[in-house]
Amino acid sequence: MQAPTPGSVDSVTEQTFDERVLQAKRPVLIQFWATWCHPCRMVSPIVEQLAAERSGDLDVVKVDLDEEPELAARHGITAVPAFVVYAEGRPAGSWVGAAPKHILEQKLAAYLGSSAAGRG
Amino acid sequence: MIKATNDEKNGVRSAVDDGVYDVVVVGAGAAGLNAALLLGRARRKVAVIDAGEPRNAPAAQMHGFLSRDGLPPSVLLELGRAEIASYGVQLIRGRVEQIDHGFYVRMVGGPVLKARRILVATGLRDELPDIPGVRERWGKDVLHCPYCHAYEVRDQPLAVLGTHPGAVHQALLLRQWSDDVVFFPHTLDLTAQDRERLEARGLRFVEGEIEHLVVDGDRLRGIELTDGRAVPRAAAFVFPRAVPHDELLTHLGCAKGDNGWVVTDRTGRTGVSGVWAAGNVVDPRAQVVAAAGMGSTAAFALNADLLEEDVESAVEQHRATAAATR
Repeated sequence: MQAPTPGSVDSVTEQTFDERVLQAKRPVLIQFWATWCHPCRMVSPIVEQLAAERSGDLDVVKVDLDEEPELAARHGITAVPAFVVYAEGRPAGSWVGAAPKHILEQKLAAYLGSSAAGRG
Repeated sequence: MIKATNDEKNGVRSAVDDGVYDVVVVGAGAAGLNAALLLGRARRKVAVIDAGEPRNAPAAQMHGFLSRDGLPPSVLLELGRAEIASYGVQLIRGRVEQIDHGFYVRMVGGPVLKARRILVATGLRDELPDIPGVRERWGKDVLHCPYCHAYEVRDQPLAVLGTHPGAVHQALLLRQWSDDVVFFPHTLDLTAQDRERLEARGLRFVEGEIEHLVVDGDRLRGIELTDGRAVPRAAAFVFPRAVPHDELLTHLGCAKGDNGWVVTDRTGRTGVSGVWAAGNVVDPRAQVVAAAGMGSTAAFALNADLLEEDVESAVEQHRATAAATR
């Protein structure tokens, strides 16, 4: 079992989804993306930055829509970039679209409660 | 007076040697070529003038043409050109600038052909919406005609781009080929009834303005919106504005109907004596096979019309000869 590197954004697959998301001890932010998607490329550095800053209390992973169509379908993903937040093995919220970092943080805070929201 | 050669008396092929064509066909697409084929086989003196810009050139295959399903459009035209040549029909590369009554077919660059009858089969031009990526992928995975190309993208995630009111019917129709059809209203104002009908048919809406089509690895990957979302799609359908190449017809005085298209009867005869039209120039809905049929129908009528004139001349000549020998 490989342990997630703190602050990194690893790809999860159908095989690793249970371990990395459902059984995670901490909240998980999943970014659904696609190689061809420009807004995804724009938002990826922001997500990576967020992952590094929140490495103490949040796991961040990504799912390639074209590689993992089943995972995407199960989450009702019809557009990318899409974000799904898991807390205690259950989806706590989701949203679609590229957005600046502070919006991403606001969304996270809204779904995870203010205790989990990074403060600067 | 009709000039008759020794072996071709009584009006038959009477115009062969005076440089006058029985019919000049403008446009060597399916309609023009099929008309020329019949007229050539009817031993008429025919010239076909073609500028070499077929509407369906971007498509790799044409479909729904009995015995020719899946044939590249360029191959159909090649076969057609060889067939008409074998009957002595002249194919002239070039563009017709104007046709004057008489008929004088004036080509760009100077040549003028004289013709007894005219068949205009110049087709139409698809005016595409100004969305980046549409022109680039047109005929490949940005498509227009479900009957022509939907089968090849059946069961795939499809998009319908709301750039023209015709997109609504196109979307309703497309559900026959895929259960994953997304309608992008884009700049189109859908009525409540449109929405209800589309929803009832199982289509999904993605609101927002389209920024561009995402193309990667020589294929369409998705539709990107201005609000930062990208929706994965394998093919997109658009409804272009069909603009007929009918300037030659309107210059001759052919009337247009309320729909903006030149009016013809069932044989392609326009309101102007001696002028026929066939194919997409008068019917945007005609597929390749229908256009070919229209050309064939027009050829019959053109030949019948020429025959009537030939017989009248022959009778006149016959009476004159009889009177002179009395």
